[in-house]
Amino acid sequence: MESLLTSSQTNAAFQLKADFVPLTVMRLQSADLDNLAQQLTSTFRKAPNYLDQAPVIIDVTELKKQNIPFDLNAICSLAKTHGFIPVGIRGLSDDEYKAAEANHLANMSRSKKIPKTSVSAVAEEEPLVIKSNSLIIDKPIRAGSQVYAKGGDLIVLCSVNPGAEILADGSIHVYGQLRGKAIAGAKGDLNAQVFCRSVDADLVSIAGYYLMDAVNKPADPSATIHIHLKNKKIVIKTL
Amino acid sequence: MAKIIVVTSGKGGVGKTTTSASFATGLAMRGHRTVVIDFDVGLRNLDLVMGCERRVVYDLVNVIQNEANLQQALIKDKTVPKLYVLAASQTRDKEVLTQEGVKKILDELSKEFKYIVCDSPAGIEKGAHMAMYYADEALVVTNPEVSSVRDSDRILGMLSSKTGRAVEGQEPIKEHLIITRYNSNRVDSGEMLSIEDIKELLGIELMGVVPESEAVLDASNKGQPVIHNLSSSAGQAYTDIVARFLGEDVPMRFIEKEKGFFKRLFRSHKEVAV
Repeated sequence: MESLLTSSQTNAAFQLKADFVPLTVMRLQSADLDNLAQQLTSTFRKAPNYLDQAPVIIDVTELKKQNIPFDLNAICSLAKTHGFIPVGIRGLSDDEYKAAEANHLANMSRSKKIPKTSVSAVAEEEPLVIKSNSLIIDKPIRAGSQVYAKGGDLIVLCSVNPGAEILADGSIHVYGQLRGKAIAGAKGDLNAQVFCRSVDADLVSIAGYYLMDAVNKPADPSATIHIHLKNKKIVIKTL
Repeated sequence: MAKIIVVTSGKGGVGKTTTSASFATGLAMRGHRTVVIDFDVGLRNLDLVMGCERRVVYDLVNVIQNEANLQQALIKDKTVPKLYVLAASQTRDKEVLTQEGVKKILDELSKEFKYIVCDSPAGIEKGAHMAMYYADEALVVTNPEVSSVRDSDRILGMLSSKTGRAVEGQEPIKEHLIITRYNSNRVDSGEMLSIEDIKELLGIELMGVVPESEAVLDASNKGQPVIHNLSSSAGQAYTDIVARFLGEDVPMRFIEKEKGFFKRLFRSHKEVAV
């Protein structure tokens, strides 16, 4: 499969390349042809250059959901007369797709069945997991230790003790007491904020602005302290 | 296999050696073969507190450097049958301690003893690191004052990241808190941190509170671990600590303000006199 897709033979008649072309999806909410024609005309008028000859996917998911009957071929020719080029259909099961005799349209239903083997192969090649840069610490951060969440948020499930230093490029969340030094937005993110149960820190800094001896110990143990930047000043308040 | 217990604190002068001596003595008095090792190479205090300073022929460094074998270096305690001391050298420094050398000694001692108590030097440098590296459990000694608690916090961080168990990803070292030189009256007047403050900050289980007592200094000077002095509060506190370590359920003592009738009478008398 790989050799087919990335064929680099010079004498090949063609090359198959994966590409990501933006496609417009027309989500139908009504199957009434007059109504559709009216809206197509007005929409086309708004952006004729953009929409002229634009490939479009007809999405009938909503119609199916509401059990509205529709004439696919009529809708397609209507779209064509208004300058669109229907290239795909979405929202039909395999059987319905066959029954609709719409083989000039590619079946682009999300539920499209792909043979199992290739599913697992694809999954192995490109896992769809996007890892965030947050750092989660579940032990107390003790004196003399330094923890830095590079490029993300720092989440501490325990307390930060005096003499410790915590840094994050993003925000800092402490589900305990915040003591020692806390530096959020270490690379200048002015939107970085600090959240904790109670604060008694030597220093709290957000994007370079800092406050020495930041203290706020609410009597209510369920309270949350919110520290953020307002007019270049560090503000501590209880949520 | 022996259990290796490090007595550590970070800060100096808080009572590590006093605790090591009394704890090891207490374990031996309860019938367990115990050896206590002084890791404070270059300073050497444990043998003084244990009262065996005149019997040190070979020491820890001699054994590490293969100048003597363990049997030659182990000093048998005069009063407690199952207790042995391995002294530190006064003429070397801590750089001679190597991980392999320490491991060799501990492995050899493990065959013979049930408990190995390592008396750590102050600080967070090599001596302290070597003393804690192979530990199974740790007694963290803290005084009720801010700098001592902070140093203990630092040491706890090292215990959970720089020891053999942490490096090899084994079950973490069991940490026990021992608060020494505690004076409940001074806590009440705000001069000392309270037990609750310390526990809250360090977040480890409290194993015992040793009250400030003149008997401790006296015992050190005499070379008899204070646990032998059962009429003193410190001696009783260490007896309790050993019992708790051995799994007995002993209620905490010496944490309440003294409220005896005579004490009150004496105090009010003193106040009148002032």
